[in-house]
Amino acid sequence: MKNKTDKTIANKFTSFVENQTDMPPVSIADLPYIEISGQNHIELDGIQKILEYKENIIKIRFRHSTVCFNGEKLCLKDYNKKNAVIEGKITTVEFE
Amino acid sequence: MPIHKLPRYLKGYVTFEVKGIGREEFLNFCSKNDINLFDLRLFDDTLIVSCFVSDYRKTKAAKVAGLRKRIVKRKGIRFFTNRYKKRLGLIVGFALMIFMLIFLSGYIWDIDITGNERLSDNLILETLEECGFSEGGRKSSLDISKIENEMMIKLSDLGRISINLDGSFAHIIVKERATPPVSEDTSRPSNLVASMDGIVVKMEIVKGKPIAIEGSGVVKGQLLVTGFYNDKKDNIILEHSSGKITALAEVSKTFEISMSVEEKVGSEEKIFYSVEAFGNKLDFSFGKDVDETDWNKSVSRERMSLFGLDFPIYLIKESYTKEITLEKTLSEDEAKERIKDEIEHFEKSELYEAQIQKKHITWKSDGERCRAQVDYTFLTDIAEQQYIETEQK
Repeated sequence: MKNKTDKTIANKFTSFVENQTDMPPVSIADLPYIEISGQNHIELDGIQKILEYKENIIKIRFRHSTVCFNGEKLCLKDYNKKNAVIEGKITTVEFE
Repeated sequence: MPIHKLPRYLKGYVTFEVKGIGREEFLNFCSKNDINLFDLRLFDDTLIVSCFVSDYRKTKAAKVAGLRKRIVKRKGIRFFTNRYKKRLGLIVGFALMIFMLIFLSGYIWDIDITGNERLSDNLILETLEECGFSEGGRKSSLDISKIENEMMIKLSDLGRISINLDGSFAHIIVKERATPPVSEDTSRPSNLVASMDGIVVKMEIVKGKPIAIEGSGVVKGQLLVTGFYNDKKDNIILEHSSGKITALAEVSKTFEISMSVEEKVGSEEKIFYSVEAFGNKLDFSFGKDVDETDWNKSVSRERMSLFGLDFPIYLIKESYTKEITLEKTLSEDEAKERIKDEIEHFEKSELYEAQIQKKHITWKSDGERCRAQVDYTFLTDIAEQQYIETEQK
């Protein structure tokens, strides 16, 4: 019960800071950061878990959502605690 | 190797393949345990991953069902050195190479001098050596500004010197002292007198009053043009005379040579080698039995080079030659030929400004000596400056 109250306060605080300072939401809240360069390169930040890793699909769980990258010859180029780089021919990006 | 891979290479990394159904779980395990993975590739059901050696040890703790791991390759300095650990010669050779590189780069290999015209390279190099700066010298012991100052003191013709060290190469930029041009003092009053006997043919006077007239004969020292005279208004003029007095002069010159001469019929030569490097000389002239008073000595220094790169190592060749001569009596024709050569040399060096009008040679030979008397008649400028002494200041 106490944790839930803390989260509510934290969310309110972050939304207040966002509104007052015009800072981008990603820098304050723990939101997923996805940067797509062209059709072949994606940089991800805030990863929690890899749910599926195949040549044509990579499904990644972020804190508040799950993102599914579809394409051909997909591969994780680099992968560490919170960041990853996906390379390959990306066709669709789905948010679940 | 791309630059971003260099830290990986230095730290050492392992590339391994992961097979089986639980590869997502393995990746999540790596993420949770702060294991950095890079160069991930997927081939069918095989995942090829690279990570640092320290991280690879952590992956051993991953207990994922149905997962198989196998190291494909190991890269990095630690693996490289492990591979060649037993090849001691290679390691020693490599260490020696590094040592030699560091050691040799501490010396001056080559000196390049630019900007000098009157001062010769050899003179500058010799003076530099006196100041302690020479090829093969240690760089760390040099005080460049002190050497530059010493050079300025020792070479009076030096206007400026700059010693620039570029690695093991020294570039010496020299600026010589500008000397003021020597000009004739045209402010001093002077006369023109005859420098030799002759008949005046032509007078081209720029300043002064002519005394001699064209067609008259003059003797050496006779006044031709005066700089001290009265003008039409009877004013006293004192000026610097100048002009050209062309006269027809006659000169006799005798050339003489001995008929018996020593002629070289052969020579004996002995060569000794030595090597000089970094100021040290290694002599290879074993059993040198040459008395330097009897032999002509010549030394040549040849710089060693490889693929166009000059090393501060010199091969010194000392050659001693002894000429074998025989006394020979010249024939009259041979003697005349030699005297003709002397006459030609005299005309080129002494009479180069004169226009020779007539030349007559009288030959005399008494078996021991051959003599030639040459009578020249030529046109030349006989005007010679003679300053007038005045008490004016």
